[in-house]
Amino acid sequence: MAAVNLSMSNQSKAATRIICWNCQEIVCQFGNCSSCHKLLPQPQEIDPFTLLGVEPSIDVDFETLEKNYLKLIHQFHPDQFITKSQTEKTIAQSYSAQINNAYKALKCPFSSSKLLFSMVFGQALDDIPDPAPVLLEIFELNEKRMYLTSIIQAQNFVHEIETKIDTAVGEYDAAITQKDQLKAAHFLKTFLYLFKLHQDVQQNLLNPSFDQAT
Amino acid sequence: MLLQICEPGTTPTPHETDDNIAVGIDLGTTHTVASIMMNGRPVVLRWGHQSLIPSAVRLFENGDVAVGEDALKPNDGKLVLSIKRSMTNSTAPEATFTVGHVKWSAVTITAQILKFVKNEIESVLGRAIHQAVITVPAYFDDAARTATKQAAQIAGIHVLRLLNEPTAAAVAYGMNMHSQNAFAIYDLGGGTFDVSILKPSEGVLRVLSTAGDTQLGGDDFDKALIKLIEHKHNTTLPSTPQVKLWARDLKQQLTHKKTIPYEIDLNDTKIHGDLSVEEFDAAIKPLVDKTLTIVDQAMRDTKLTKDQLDSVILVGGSTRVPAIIKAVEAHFSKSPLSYLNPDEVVAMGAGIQAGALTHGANTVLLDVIPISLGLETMGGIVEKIIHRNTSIPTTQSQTFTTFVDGQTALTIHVVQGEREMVNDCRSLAKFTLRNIPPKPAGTAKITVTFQVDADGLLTVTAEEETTSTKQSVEVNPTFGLNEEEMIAHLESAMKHAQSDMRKRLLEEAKVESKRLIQALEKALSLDSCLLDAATLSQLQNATADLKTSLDTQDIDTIKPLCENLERLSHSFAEKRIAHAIRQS
Repeated sequence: MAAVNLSMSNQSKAATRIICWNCQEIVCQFGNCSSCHKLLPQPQEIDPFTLLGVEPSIDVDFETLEKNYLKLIHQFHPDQFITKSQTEKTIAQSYSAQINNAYKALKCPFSSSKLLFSMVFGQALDDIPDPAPVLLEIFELNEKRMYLTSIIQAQNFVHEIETKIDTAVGEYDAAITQKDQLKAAHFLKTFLYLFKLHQDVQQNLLNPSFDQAT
Repeated sequence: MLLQICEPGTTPTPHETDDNIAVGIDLGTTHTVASIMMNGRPVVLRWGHQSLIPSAVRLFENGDVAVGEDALKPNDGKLVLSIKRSMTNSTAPEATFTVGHVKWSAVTITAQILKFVKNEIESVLGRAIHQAVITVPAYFDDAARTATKQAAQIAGIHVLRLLNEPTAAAVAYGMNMHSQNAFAIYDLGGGTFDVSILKPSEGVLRVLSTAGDTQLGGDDFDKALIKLIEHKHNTTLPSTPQVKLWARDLKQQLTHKKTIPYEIDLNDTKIHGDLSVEEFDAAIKPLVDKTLTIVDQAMRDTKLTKDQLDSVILVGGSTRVPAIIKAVEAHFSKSPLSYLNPDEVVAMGAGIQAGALTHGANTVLLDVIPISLGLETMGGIVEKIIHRNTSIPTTQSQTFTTFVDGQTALTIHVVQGEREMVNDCRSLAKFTLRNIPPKPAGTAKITVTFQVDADGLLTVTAEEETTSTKQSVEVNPTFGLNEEEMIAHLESAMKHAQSDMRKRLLEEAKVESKRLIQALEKALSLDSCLLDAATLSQLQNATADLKTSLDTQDIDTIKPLCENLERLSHSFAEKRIAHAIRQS
């Protein structure tokens, strides 16, 4: 069922008509030519969310992402076109590069949330200065992190960060829907910082050696 | 695994044309092994009882060459062993030999091995072989991969795919595995070490990470053994291929004996003694530890823990050394698998993949780039464009700008490596992008695109984009030579290479021309009403010219005419699309 949905959504959004390079029929540009079944050049401008058939959100559905990615790579990997014409080989090469890159961009919440921001507002997040309340919050959390002395404290801290992450994600998604750029930038920057902090605490503080060291 | 000896003259699958038959070749540091699919199973090719062809080449003064067992027989001329270790640095002086009047390089010597193996395969199968999947160490850099592909081309082999050795082994084991969990391949060969972590799911065998060392293998164990004996007798052994082979033999005996006697004749004296497995293990411990550090790096890149791995598979002849088996078992807390012959499993996987590529397969292999690729920026700092363990194929672009007012040229230096400074990385190519319109510093926009294909080979394109100018330079980073120049360069070594290459190019041009003519004729029959009389006759004339040129069998005539027709038909295609959109 997911497979059908995926190709449908791709097709409807990328229904540019082109002339098949091989049979000259005028066809829709997705996958193979509906007339001669040769591989068609894929639309380059398609965004990673649409390409991989996942909802554009800060909280990408990893299971669907993984499944759709592997399905597409299986279909378009250059190995599947080794006995085909040079044109098809070239198309397969560039399309599977596009699929790999899209997956890489969505796999990490860091890059996928930034991508979503620039897609919605047409501006890169890094071009927007950090809002003062965000800096203040970061400052307070950094200070708190410095004074952690036991694994129990670190665990509580991780829970606190996780709650904050949930809030930031909710506010960010709402801001995206409301097309409120300032609010979105605020919560995305908060989220990205919290995400990094969460990784850092888990890696460096949540292990037995931390307890012994303190 | 079913292994069978193939009778000369029997075809793997009857009625197959030469075009859809392909072999797998494991081009190893010490041995080369070949395999082919027969009745749905990979069969390792055997010559008598032997499946391993020594990757040894003897170069004679008169220009003659002996390969394999014949090269090992004591003889005159120069014996070259382990040439694969020079492939990562194939233009370096130590990889170049002059014997008699012939200048040899790592590429041309490797080509001799492949040519010999091709002939051997053809005599066993009783038919011509033109295509192969050739395996390379996963950690081979771009230069070594290109060099391998060139060697194959000189030997008259079209490389369907360069396959990473651990991935090939995973394919061979994958035939018997139905797990969806990740597993590790520990591949220690004669000259190279690789470790890959793979995960099979949804019909894709995905490499999650790979790491390795192209200068670490069984050869280094031999060297450690020689050093150990030198130390015991306080002497120096000559560094000849004979001593190397002697040490290799001792090492092999130690895989199943606790203590072995040894003796060797030096010029005036004879040294002899006993060697215990404990002494040997202690001598190779630093090397074994080095492999485990590399394993940890690969694991870190996957973000998996060791207990999330289903199994660890041992590949490569050097994994027969008991100290390796023990070390791997202790490191992973799992007893490693090695039920397929570690010398043959890579060739088997290559054979399976050769069959899959020519006949279609249910599983697709998704590999990664082993070493990061980048560009030199101000101050000799490397800016990474593609990070290691990125799935391939991949394309990445980066925009650069000029740093001096009125600057009209920019040097682009492509490097491969993990280090921050250019001097610590391997230089792949350097080229200059010229004719940048003079502008204030920082306003020109130069986009550099790195494209890595499924063989792990890189193409770099640089484009200067202003309102009106656009230019691009393509680089095939290795020796700064393009394919045709390379063929010309090696012509003296291989007389037939160029004509083969031209024949291939001619065939491709003819196929492309015929396709274009057919397509255009069909389009004209549908929509010629969209064209004015002059354009129509121009198209028809260009088609007729191209048709006539096909009989000339001359690529230099056909190609420009084909490109011309392609150009002319472009605006017709645009008219047709516009027309179709108006209609709907």
